[in-house]
Amino acid sequence: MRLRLAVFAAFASALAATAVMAQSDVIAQREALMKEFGRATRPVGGMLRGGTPFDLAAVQSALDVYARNAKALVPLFPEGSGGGETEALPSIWQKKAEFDGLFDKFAADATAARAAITDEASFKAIFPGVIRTCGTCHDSFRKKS
Amino acid sequence: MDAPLSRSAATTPPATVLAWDLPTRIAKWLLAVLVGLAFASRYCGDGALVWHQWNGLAILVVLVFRVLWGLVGGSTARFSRFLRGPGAVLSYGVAMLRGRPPHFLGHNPAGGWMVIALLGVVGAQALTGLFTTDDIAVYAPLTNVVSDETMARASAWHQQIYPILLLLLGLHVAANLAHSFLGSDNLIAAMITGRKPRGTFADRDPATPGSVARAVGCLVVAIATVFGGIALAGGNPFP
Repeated sequence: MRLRLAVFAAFASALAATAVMAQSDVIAQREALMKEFGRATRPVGGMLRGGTPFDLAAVQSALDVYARNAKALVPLFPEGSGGGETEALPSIWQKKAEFDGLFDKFAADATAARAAITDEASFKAIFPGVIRTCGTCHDSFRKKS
Repeated sequence: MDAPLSRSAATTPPATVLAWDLPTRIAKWLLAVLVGLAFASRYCGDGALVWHQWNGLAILVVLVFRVLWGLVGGSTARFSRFLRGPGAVLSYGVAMLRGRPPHFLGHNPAGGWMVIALLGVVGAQALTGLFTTDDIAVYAPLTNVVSDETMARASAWHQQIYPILLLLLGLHVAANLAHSFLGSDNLIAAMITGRKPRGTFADRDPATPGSVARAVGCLVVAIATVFGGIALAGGNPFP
């Protein structure tokens, strides 16, 4: 009886530990992908304001990162991954369809912009609309600091 | 009013006395407008964040100017003239509660500390703004010289100071409206025209204005301090 209890306890704690590890794992993964968004966007932000010269290749690689990471991010917010060290708000899981929809829109916009942006003029016209989704999502689904 | 009629117009003392010199008033209203615009540009979309940065830099210039003017400007603008100890603030508060506050030509003891509080909090907001990012595409002038952690902390402070500033501004505006429209001292009119009706003041009157040349000097130093400071620190002073 006592042995069975001990075995059960060991299993249970191992399971719990795995769950915690898995959870901190998805948090780390999604944060890494988000940080990649930031690193790709920063130089492009300078081009938007005219502070740094327009560089089509950098813009295209940012758009590629958006499309790729936005798709990869959707499964990284599983139910129950809102605890621990995360800036993800519970509203993500209350409005999961809307949340996932923003990633879909972001990926689709980035893919469309990748084809449509050919020069500085089209970049300045189209790009701000693509990254507007970042702020939309942060405003409703990310913890305010 | 009961001046002898025989006196010529030239020697009749004017009905008003100087309370605030022109540079003080310009700095005051410019700061008010710029802070208002900074609130507005925060809510006008991502594109307006560039405007918001210029706004913040302009606020910094006015703040540095006002601090310099508080050292070398007109008499009522000087910190040494309007900053009084806690005893004076307390007795002013007690007198006000009794409904008979003494008249001051410049800032009263409570108002003087509000000036410091406002300069301090607006200054903190402007300085943290220099290190703030929207975490998407807009990076403030000094973000490139600090770590990501510092940037995140400054961005958080920039948001946390905002409600404190709103609270102070509310107090400041309410106190001035009450003084001007419920009390007998129209502070708002005085800050616009620069003059107050002749009367008995607890501080020295009339005010001695600071010279325009000195004000221009302070402005030049303020601009050089803000933009030169950012450039020297390795930042980009022109967003």
